Amino acid sequence: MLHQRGVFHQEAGLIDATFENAAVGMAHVSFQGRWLRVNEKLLDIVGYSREELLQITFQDITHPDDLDADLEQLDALIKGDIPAYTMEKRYFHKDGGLIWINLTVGLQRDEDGEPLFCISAIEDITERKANEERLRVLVDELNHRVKNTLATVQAIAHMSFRKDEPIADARAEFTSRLHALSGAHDLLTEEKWMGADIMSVVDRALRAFRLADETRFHVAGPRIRLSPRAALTLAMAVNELATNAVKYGALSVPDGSVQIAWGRFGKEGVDEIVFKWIESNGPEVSMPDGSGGFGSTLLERILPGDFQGEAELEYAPTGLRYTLTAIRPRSADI
Amino acid sequence: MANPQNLLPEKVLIVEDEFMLAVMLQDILETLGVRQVSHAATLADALDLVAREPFDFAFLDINLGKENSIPVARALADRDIRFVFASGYDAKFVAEGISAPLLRKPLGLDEIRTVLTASDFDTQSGRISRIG
Repeated sequence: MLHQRGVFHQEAGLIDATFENAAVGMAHVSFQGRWLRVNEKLLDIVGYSREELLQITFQDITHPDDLDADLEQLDALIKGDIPAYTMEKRYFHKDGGLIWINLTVGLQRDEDGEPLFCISAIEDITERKANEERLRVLVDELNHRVKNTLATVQAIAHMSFRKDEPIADARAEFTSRLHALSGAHDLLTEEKWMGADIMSVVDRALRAFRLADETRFHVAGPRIRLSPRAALTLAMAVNELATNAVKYGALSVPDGSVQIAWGRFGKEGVDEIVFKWIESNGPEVSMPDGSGGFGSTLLERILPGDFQGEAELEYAPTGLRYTLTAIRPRSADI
Repeated sequence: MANPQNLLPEKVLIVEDEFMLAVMLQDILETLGVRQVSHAATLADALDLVAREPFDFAFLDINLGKENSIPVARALADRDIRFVFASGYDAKFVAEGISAPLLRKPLGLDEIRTVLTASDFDTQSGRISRIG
């Protein structure tokens, strides 16, 4: 290389500066794994001082499960089988914590082409790996939720399509039930599936029915936090009650109305939660699907089951009354 | 865990914390002709039932809210009662020294019938073998 002395020094200085100040970790590493030269950024990544790091090898700080893959590729590199390699692996930080790095290794050769040492570029990807892990957990959780929802839909279908029911009616009811399920899903998604307030659940379930006539529903009650499961089942139950009221109950006649109320009552260290659906000025009706139908099964078995409580369905002369009672440890979610 | 005659079990336990799914499975089993179907929604209730009732088959939802049904599986295995897991999750925590077939939710009607009348469960692979 024909350089004037000054220019050569200037260039060498520039190369040093590039190595030292690179925004990725840089190192020259012997074939035995000893660090020959390291830059500030690498020291930053692994937490060692320059003196400390130069005393140890990369094997010392590499996670044992990642070491063989690294050594294999290093061997292939030195033999000349590959020109360079890149891998993601784990180092132990000086404080003992695991860090993920992206490692790219090339080779420095002498004038005769004999390998001299490795040139490694090391990038801290711990945060990216953590994000990938969060995403994986989220996708797994979503998959589980979808499977669960499909199982719920299967159960709704199973109970909606029964031998003795005309298919067109069953289809309309099934669609309405899916709609109720979907509305509850929207609500839970807004709440990041942490649960939902009982008022929002009832409001959402009544939305389609209120479009027809707002004035006939009287809804009142304190805030009570419901688990996602309880919220889903209650939404389905309110949909059944409202559908039934419109078709056969208090909302099928001009003067009928529905009162929906709930409360939380402290009792000897526990809370009693009561939810009531009371129809007024309506005809006396029973759940038309009778026992074993989806509506009555949902109201008398599934909802009290999911609330770990009890339910009573009364066919009063002025209209249907439904009462759900559950005992909870003080202030716990349902 | 053998069922040499490929008979339908008479007393079946369902362990499932979602009542909607339990009610459906109970209806399916009764329609198939199972004489007695019991349901437990919590670990404590399930263990209590297993201790009291001579079941000859069980469906175990793995995830029961904050609990899981692995202790029920152990209690059933101790009594030589056949069972299957049913879950929306992968088979990850089935591998705690217990091996039983895993049915993925939603459950298929055919697979329910198949596991009920299976001649034997291969407890190593979790596979079901059938005669004929």
